[in-house]
This record gives sequence, C-alpha cells and structure tokens, in this order.
Amino acid sequence: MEFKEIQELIKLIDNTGLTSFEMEKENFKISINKETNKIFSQEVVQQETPQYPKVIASPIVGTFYIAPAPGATPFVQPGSKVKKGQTVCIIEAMKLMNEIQADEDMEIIEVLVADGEMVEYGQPLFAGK
Amino acid sequence: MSLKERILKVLEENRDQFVSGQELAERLNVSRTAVWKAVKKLKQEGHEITASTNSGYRLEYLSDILSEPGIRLYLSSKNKELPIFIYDQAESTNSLAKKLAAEGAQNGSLVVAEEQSKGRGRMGRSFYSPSGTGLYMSMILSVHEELASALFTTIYAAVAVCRVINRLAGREARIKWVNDILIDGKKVCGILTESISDFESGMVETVILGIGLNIKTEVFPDEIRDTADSLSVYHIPRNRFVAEIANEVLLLKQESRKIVIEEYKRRSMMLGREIEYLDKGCRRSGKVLDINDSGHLIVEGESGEITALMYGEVVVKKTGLYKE
Repeated sequence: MEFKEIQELIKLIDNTGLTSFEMEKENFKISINKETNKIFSQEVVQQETPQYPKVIASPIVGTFYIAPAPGATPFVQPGSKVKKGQTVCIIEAMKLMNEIQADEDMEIIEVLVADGEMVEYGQPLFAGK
Repeated sequence: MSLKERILKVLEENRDQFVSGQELAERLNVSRTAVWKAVKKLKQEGHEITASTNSGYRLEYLSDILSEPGIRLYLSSKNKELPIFIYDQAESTNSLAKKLAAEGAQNGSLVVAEEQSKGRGRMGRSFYSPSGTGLYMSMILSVHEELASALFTTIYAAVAVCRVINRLAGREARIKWVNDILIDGKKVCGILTESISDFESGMVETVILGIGLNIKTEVFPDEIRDTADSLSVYHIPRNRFVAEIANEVLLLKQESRKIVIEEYKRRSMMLGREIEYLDKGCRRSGKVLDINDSGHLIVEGESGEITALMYGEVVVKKTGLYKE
C-alpha cells in the first residue's frame, strides 16, 4: 500500500463515525484507532431527585437559560402546559445557543435549575406531569 | 429577475465602467426608455449610478447597496444558486433566518439586512448595527448532525471571517474564544449561532449562523467606543463580503475538523493569556495552555488544576476584555 493511499484512508476514516478500523491483505496489516472527541461528560449526574412523572433532561453540558434574553419572559414556568416540540429553555455551549424542546406534552411542575447555572449531560431540568 | 435587477447585474459586472443604454436595451431586449426608467428606480434605491448621454450608465466604484445580483456576482460557481433574502431593515437577521428556516428555506440560504434595529448578541446583548456601514448576515445551514458536531459551527465561522478579512481588507484578525473577532485588540465582528433540533431524533437539523461585521462604521455608541472598531474598508462592496464569507463557510464545512481547529488556534489570541473564567459558578483565574481538538479552552488554574472550558464567559486579564 502506498503512503498516499494510507493517508487517504486515514482521512476517509477520520470523516466517519468509526473509532477503529483494521485491514489485512498479503504482507500488510493496518489498524487505525481514533480517539473521539468526547465532549459530553460521561457520568450522568446522580442526584437525589424525587420521582416526577415526567422529566426533561439536558442533552448537553452547558449553561442553562430559562428565557430568550435576560429579563425577558421565561419560555416556561411552573404551571405552564407545554406541547411536544415546544422550546422550554436554551442551553449554551461553545457559544452555540441550543433551543431545547419538550419531547412530550406535559404540565411543568418545577424548574429544577436556576437561570444561568451550568448543567451536566443528562441532568434533569424540568419536572412535569 | 426583474428588469431592474437584470440591469443591475450587467452594471455590477461592469462596475466603474460605462455601459451604453443601447447595449443594455439590446442585451435585455427592452426599449431604451425602459432601461432609463429602471435605472432611475435603482438610483432612488441608493445605487450610485452615473448617467451620461454619450457613454451610458456607470455603477460607481463606491456604490454600496446590498443587492442580489451584487452578491451573486461573487458567489463561487458552486454556490451561484443559493437563495438570497435581502431586507432594508430587520430586527435581527437571525430571527428572520429562523422564521425562513421554519418555512423550509434551503441549506445555505443567505439573509442580509442594511440595518438591524435589534441586532442581537449572546443572551440579549445587542450588536450595534447602523444602516449601510456593516454587514449583518445570517446563513441557514441544514445539517442533521449531533449537537456535539454542531458546536463546531462557531469555530468554522470565525475562521471563515478571518480569512475573508485577510483577503479583502489585508488585515490580520485574531479570534477571542469562542466567537469574537478582533483587530488590534478591538472587536470588529461578532458571531451568534443558534441551533434548531428535532425533538424526536435529538439531532440538530438547522444551525442559524449570524455574523455582524463592522466594515465602514465610524462612530460607535459610548459604551463600546473603546472596545469596538471597524475594518475601515470603503472600496469593496458589502455584497462581496457577504458572498465571500458564505463561500468560505461552505468551503470550510467540507474540510476536516482537524485542519480547521489548527487554523483556529493559529488565529486565536488566547494561547498563553491570563484569563478569568467561571468554573461551576466560581470566578477563577488561570492561564490558557491550549485549545483542544474539540475547540475547548484548556486552562491551568492558580492551584495547578487543569480545566477544559466549553461554555461561559472568559475575560482576558490585565488589559481588559478586548485588549490584546
């Protein structure tokens, strides 16, 4: 295998989701391992959260914002009835504002995180029923 | 395309040169009176067009009104057909882009405005966007990717803007992590990215990439006078900045992440800097050691602990927020 081909192979694999790759042909074996960019904290925060019928959890590590701008009307508050797909908060990471949506219809019982606070991956943000 | 736009297209292609009324009329298959009427309308819209009885019409060198033919002229052949939405005034191009995306605007759609009445920065901060002197644009990027991957959009955009500034203004711009672009320690550009996810799949479907770049702005409000600046470029139409930034963003999206991060690091002003940052709600001081492959800022705290920052506010110490 030519050096150039190997280079191309690496590039190709780097652009896929593969984390390891092995290939063998006569007198030649190549094995590639890729450390993926783990940006999500692996451990889901184990909190003593009381059991709520429904919970919206954070899909990402970042800063939690309850309103589109400081002082603006919050997306939701306790008692709000939200529909599946409705934006409930923003979580910022790497200066990307991610609108987080409810994945089912629910009534918000409690907002579990304060505005501007950092949240972990999987951390419950809202309790609902 | 309306006759007016078709005429503007020809004039843009021949900027700073006369095109005779006769030639325009023949090329566009209309009467010379129709040409004259359309040119009059263009002039009313602010385009600087000189009319001469002998020579015809000339779009002046410094004419600088956003227009579809003007932007398209500089889009690379691959991007020639990108949808373009132009507004005289918008509250914020990001808000408009979001709406257009929800209505199904296609990947790469460009939304630009002469002026923003509520130009937005992060979390409700404003971006000063006076009429005609800056570039206020948003790009709609259809992505269908993991959130982790979408986080790179800001980094791609920052590199793209630096490249274009370098090419068109001949200036070396530096990036303050994550999303501000500075020249000689003053902010010339801000980037605001917003993602729209599909709640079923959890995938990011659309990223709205907002870019505000001060090009000819001379006077800034008091509160940002010491920290903001503009490129002071007068001879290059903003249409060209819009197109070249769009070209560059779409080009970089094809690049390997590693190459982009390398360039981002090279253009960053953060390495080796003393900074203040927030760590789990506590204000800390530290020194920037590196930017890792995910774009996170690697900081060594005062007691030697190493943290990878991926969110929050960072203040470069001693010389103030935006000073080098």
